[in-house]
Amino acid sequence: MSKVEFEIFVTGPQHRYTNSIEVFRKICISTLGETGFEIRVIDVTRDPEYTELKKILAVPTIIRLKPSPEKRVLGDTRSEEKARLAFQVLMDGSTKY
Amino acid sequence: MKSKATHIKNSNKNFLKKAETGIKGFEEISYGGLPRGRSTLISGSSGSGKTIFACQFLCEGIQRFNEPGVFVTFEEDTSDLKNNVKSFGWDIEKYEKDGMWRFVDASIPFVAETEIIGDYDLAALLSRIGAAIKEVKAKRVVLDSIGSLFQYFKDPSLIRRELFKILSFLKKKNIIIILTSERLEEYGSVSRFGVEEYITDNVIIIRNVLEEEKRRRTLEILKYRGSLHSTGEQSFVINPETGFQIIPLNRLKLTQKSSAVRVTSGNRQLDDMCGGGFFRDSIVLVSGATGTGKTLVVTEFLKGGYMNKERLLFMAYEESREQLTRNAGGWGVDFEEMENSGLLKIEATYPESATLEEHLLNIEKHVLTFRPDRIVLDSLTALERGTSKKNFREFLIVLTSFLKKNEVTAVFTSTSTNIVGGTSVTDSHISTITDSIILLRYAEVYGVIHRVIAVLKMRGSIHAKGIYEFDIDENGMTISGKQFSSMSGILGGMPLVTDRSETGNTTESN
Repeated sequence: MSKVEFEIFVTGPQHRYTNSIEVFRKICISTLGETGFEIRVIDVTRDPEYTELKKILAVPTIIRLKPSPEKRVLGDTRSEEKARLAFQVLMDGSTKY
Repeated sequence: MKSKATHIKNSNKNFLKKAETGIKGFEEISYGGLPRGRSTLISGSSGSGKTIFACQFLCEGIQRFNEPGVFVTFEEDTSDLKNNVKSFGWDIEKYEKDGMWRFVDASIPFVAETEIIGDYDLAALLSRIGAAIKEVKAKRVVLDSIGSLFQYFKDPSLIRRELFKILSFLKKKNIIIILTSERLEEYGSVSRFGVEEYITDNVIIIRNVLEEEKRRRTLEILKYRGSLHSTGEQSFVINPETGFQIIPLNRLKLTQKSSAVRVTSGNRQLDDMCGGGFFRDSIVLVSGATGTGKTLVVTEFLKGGYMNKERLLFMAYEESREQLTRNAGGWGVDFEEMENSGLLKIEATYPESATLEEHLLNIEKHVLTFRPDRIVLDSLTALERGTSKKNFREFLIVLTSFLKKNEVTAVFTSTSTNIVGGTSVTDSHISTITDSIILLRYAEVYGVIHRVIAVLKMRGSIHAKGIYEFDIDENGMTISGKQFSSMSGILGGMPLVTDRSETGNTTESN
């Protein structure tokens, strides 16, 4: 079974969203298992070209790239509750869950 | 403290350093263009021309001032936009290749509708705009249109805060910023979401108003922080070749110097009645009911100019070139020969084919390219059809001042509605603008129709005060040397036969 792929667009050298990413990662681990997913973090200030390509306007945006079709959520996931909500929205519609 | 003082001084020095937008007429009404490091909101209803204005602002910047630009689009697809403006001669693709133009495609991707679950900010957009600016070293930035942001993110206060951040970032770079925003009504709140106008320094409203069943486009500078500007609505057109063109009406000054040089009206008796001919660069109105001989007067006026080898422009809105030529031939004037000589140019146009503003630009274009000594406009009445009185008056003011500035002698015709006597509505609001008025009227005496002519007004000159009868034959107009005094009340429309015996030609002084 192929991995679920996520991209998280964040900003700031101060790692403002480090915590949010970790909370989301924990939710993923608990549901998809350690190896069942991949998260790529993109700093919009460092990679504006890719941000342009994906037409990202706001941060933090989480994209579920695979399985396709793509799904997106916007908003901070620093609380476990929000992270779980984000995960549900992203995985909703996927045949696996 | 010292450094602060210097800072203030410096900022004062840079205070409102304006840059020309390159949009025709805008520099005049904004007293120099748009300031660097400031933001301007263009608010307008759908189809009012916001995107064209914004696009032209960038294109002119590139073409004329070598200033690269970034276009942030929130709505329109970039390839659509490129195609839509191609007809204006704006080759965005080329500008992109030349590294003068970058798009930031901020249209909301519908591939995957984003659900909002928590706090966010627009740092990604800011970063993309920043990267595009850096890449082309942009001096001008357009955000078109920010309404989509409000619609999509549904949190006006957050968007306001985020836009403020973006604007501050751009201002620090001394960039000229244009934001567009949609409004729902032509006369109502400035912007749709009610906050757009508060985040920008300047606000411009463009309208596309239905007035007397005709569309009229206007632009109004509502707010211009720290600068003088023209107030009120200014007419503009979207010229299919050159784009936006504002026609500044309110800023015209009455500075034309009047000429004392006389030119012939083409008719010796009429010259005499006018005290020696028309003044050069004066505006003469020929008013009369249909068939009284207005076209004859202008035909003779053109003939008179042709005799002196002057250049003549005939703007015809009532009759075709063929009709005019045939009529002139009937009065012994050969328009064809005059046209072949290159001295006469006849431009026959349907008045309904364009808006009044477009007609004005068309006349200006012909005057500037053909450089006539004399111009005939036949008739004002045809042009006035379907426009509002105010609009028409403004049109006349601009036109007459333009003609005077270019030292053109002009004859306008106007058709009065009453067959005998009376003045028409047209006359009443045209008459104050023109320098001279010649009236042509029918008069009925014992069942016989007579044609009469009178010089009603001749600014700065003596003129004959009497009413004279005239005849029309194959040699044109022959004005009788005798005053037509067998009747009174011709001009008032209530002719009465008087007992007074006919007197000789009396020329009274003004």
